[in-house]
Amino acid sequence: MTEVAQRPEAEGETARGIARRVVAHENFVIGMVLVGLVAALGGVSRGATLTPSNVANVLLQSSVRGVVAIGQAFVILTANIDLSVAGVGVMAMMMGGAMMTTQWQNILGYSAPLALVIPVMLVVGGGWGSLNGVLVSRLGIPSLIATFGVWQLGYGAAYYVTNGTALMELPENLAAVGSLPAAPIIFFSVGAAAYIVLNHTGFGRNVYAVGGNPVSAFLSGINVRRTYFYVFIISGVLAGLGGLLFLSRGMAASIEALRGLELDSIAACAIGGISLFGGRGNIVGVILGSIIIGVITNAISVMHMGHAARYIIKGAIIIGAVAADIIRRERRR
Amino acid sequence: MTTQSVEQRRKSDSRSVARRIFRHENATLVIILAALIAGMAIATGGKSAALRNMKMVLVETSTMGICAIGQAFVILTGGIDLSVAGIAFGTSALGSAMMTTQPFQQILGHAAPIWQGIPAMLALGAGLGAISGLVVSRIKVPGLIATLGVWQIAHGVGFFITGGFTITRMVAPLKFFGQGFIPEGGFPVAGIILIAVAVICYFVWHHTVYGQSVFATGGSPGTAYLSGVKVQRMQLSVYIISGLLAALGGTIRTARVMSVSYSSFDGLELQSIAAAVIGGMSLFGGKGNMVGVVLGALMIGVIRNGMSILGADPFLESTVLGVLVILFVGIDTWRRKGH
Repeated sequence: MTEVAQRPEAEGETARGIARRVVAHENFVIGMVLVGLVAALGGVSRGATLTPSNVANVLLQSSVRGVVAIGQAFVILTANIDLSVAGVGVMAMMMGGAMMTTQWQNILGYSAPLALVIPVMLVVGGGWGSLNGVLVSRLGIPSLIATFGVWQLGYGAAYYVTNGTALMELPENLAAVGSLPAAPIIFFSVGAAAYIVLNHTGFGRNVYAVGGNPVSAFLSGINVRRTYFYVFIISGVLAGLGGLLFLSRGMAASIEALRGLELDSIAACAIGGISLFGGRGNIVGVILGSIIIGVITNAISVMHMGHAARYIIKGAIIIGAVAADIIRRERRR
Repeated sequence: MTTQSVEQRRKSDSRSVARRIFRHENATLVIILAALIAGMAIATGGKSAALRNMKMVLVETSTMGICAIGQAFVILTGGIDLSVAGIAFGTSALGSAMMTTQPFQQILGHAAPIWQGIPAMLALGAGLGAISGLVVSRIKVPGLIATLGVWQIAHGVGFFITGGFTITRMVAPLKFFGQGFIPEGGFPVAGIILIAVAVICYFVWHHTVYGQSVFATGGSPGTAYLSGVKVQRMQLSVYIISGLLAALGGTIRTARVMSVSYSSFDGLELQSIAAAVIGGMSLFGGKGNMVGVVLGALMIGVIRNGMSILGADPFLESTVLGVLVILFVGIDTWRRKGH
């Protein structure tokens, strides 16, 4: 009897309830920011940023940044940081490229098939990531310095693979990986996989727990060191994947190609609401954050605002996003 | 009998002096530096040990060394300054655009004298440092992120001023700070500036209340606050000092090569961190000494110089630096664990 009486009332509230829940959702603000930004930039550039070819361009650029930012998010969730993503990505990219190219830089003597090269690139990335992981989890070196050093090592190694020259004349089937349907699909599937790992597995819970409070995580039986080790491997593999996507999009690569990726990936996480103090944030935010940075970077180049604006705006965004996160946290207390 | 005991005492005295020298915190660094200089001299067939080249090393090291001293202030409080290279470029862009004699690159419409150009550079450096300092001390943004952002902003300011071009032909008196010698053909001016900065900062660290407060802030911010140290003001001040010294380092390099391009200062942040860390600064804050930082900078300078004489490519340099930094921080971390 009471149930019947209550039901219509509950149904009447669902529409409003859904709306309220949507507004209160953690990614609502950032989603609105993205929509507002796209609309505003579309207006300011008189539609130049909204042409289908440009939208495709933004998606492709965001895919490279996005997969790397997702790896970075795993590391930042444990209250560490990975500055080596550009160096590791370049190393994987040059290694893969040098296996496939038909030029003199080929290190194997024959052009290796894609099915061999792609796993090699991911493994190379994971290997460099595990170097970070060992330095941080076993030796206890602060992640900032360990990854700063590995960044340099990655660049040095990449230089030795290619002798500092740009890689070209890559096999044509490579282009499919980084072009329109494939790259965003890879980006979003990596995002979906990361979402499932972080929210529905024991490892994901450990990542949040370790980042929130390493001591209590340790006391509740979580292997803190192993968690650190794994997040750096994940970040390394995804940096390698970022290198693969970049290589196949441009079909050429120089050693300077991924410069600034560490800043972009950290900024994407910061904008996406991943707290730099660890333990707080979600992957959907990171995906939106990567796209926001892609939209801004693209608009700056479409509107010919120049390098100066690009640097200043990016610097202001990263400080602003982290400052906003900290201020929000303090208010909540 | 008595003579024997006197001899014995003398022996043990000289032994304890030797022991004290070897136990000194910088003994290892001096030995490594001497070994490096000797090793490089052998590897280059004596070229690197020539007096002319040693002076060059000192001049080249002065920019990195001065930046490393600023970096050491920040690291002493437990922070880190990644904006060094950006600030050096941004300020050098301003200074060179003010002091250039090429009409189309002048931002003032005339070539400013050095007494206007250099103070303007130092002021911009201190101002950019103050942005990091305020963001770190007031909003509590990690120093890493604040300086990563300011690095970009300063780089953008430099791009804005230079338009991405290389600026050359600065007014002639500027040369003195990078290429001058006192007396003519004697000791390099850049080296004197480095030594002067190091001596002043040594005095500030060990003989002023301010220096002790900086040490206290890095050692334990909570305790420092409770003992009356204005922790926020200390944090703000170290970033300003680092920005100021980055601008001074930029001045010297600009005066040495008499041209500024956007890649002039690439890698300076890693080099300055490496110098500070090799010199015994602990990244956890509160531990370090000024002499070590200068020795660390000289070590890197000797390595870079030797490798360039040997014709090694620049990427090998950064690899060596990366290994050195990880190695020295690893040793520091290992020591802290109580070995």
